[in-house]
Amino acid sequence: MSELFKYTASEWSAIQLSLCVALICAVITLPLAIAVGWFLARKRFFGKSVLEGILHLPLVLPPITTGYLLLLVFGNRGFIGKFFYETFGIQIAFSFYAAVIAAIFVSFPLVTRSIRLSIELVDQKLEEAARTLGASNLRVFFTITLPLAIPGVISGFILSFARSLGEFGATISFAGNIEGKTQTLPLAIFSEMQVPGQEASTMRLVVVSVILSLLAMIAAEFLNRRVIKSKTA
Amino acid sequence: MKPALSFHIKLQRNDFTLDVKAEIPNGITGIFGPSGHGKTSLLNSIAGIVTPDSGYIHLNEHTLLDTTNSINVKIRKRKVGYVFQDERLFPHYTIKKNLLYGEKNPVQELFDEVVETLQIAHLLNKKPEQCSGGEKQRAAIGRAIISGSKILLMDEPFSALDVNLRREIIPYLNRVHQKFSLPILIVSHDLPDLLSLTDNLLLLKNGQLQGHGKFTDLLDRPENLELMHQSGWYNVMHLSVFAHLESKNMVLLKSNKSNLQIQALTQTIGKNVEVNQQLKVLIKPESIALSKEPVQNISLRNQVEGIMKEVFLKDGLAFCVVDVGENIIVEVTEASRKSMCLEKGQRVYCLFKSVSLKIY
Repeated sequence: MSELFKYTASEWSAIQLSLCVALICAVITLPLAIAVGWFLARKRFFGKSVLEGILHLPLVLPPITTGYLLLLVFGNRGFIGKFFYETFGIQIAFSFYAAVIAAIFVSFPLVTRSIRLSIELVDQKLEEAARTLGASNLRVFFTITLPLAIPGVISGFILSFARSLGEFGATISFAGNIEGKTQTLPLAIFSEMQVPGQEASTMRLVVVSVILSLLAMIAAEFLNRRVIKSKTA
Repeated sequence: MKPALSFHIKLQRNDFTLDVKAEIPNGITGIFGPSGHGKTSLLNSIAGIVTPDSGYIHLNEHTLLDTTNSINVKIRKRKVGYVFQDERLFPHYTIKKNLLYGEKNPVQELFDEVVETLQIAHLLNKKPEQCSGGEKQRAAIGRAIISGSKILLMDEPFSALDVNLRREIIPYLNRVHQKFSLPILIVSHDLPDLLSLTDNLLLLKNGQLQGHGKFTDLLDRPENLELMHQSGWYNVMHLSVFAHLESKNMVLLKSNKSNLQIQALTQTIGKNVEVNQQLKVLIKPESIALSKEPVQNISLRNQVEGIMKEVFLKDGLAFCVVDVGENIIVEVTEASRKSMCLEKGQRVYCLFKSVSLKIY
């Protein structure tokens, strides 16, 4: 039984790496998703549904396909990867960056959707009223739209974090399964499952995985309630 | 006097055309018309929320819109205070923060004066949802004034309030106009409410200006009568307190311009009116009866002599414009008009009960 609590160094490293990737991913995704979410909620333009389709593609694409496409673009011979490799000597594919990029791509549509929906719920008449009071578009956004859409922003952040924690397919195909570098929790679980006699190790990682996901969901619920409470107080 | 606001707005939306040209003096002006006849579009155009197809808008010495010179000032730079029908206070801010949204550091005296005039001091730390409809409305008016507006536009300010709250907001609006000398444009489809605030009316029908001027002057034209009739209208008389007849529990009111003189119940006016105080007396056209001679031994307190200026017939009713010093409308049935042989130019007596008067 005590075996369940003895985490090895490589297991710890997988846990830390996972949290690190998820946090960075959530922090980078959030502002991008707010900008795109606002744009989709408030603007009408030609080809909007096509753009929406493309943005939502990672939601329905098999993650391994996403990973392969990322590899095509960010690999050393892909048009972005090549630029980074030749100019800065940075190899993106099969690196920590790749794990973060893969997480961003798969979580982005989820976060954008959540933020966009909550921005759509913000009464545009309030924005109009703010403008008659002399507020610029930027001020309207930061003082009216964003604060009123905050529940969606918070749940977007947590969604992004939680989705990144669970990311597997795109990561393994684009970032590889390198211990200490790109081997996140799900990848570590996958590796342990391949080896006979590692049931205890697998179990330890699974327990952490379940706890982390649960914590993220509880935090989301808690924050959402606080927002609703502070709004009605 | 130079108009505070002058505009000519042309706007085409599907099969609806708005084409209104007017000059608005400093003061309270009511825009009256049925729902869906362009009142809100007019306000939205002045505020800049809607861009007219062509025309101009001048506010004081500033040009807000001039399509021939491609001038179209942005909403946020127009200094037009818009009090919306649904208040539109920001729900995540306290009333104080709402008041300061347009101008973070207003002159303290102005802020204090607005808070005092509108009596919203006790609301400053509350959120909008903790306030009543009337309180929210006052806060929205205050927010527009503090933001440095040069004119107040109000879209159906009464419609969201129940009858008692309506009466409550009217003195505030009068005070706002007097204290801050802002021109105020009020849109309403409710004529009695408008008339309790102002006699200066713009009549809007099908997107066109049908009449503009003092209410009593507008009564001369049958198409105006028809438009206003649909809204449950009132006659408005401007009278001042002449004497308290305390033994009878009545107040004697007189016109400064003519011999018009009526009696009203002390309780409808309130005891604290002073002699010479100006009052607005409202009475419904259907509450007035006509007689060709003075009537003796009758309980009615008021018999006002006048000359029949016009008679308009519609749907079995006769609308008689009677000059009693000011124009008033009397609504009688066509049948009784015929049997009494009432005609233009005749001397008539308008009979009404003191209790049927509304006094502001």
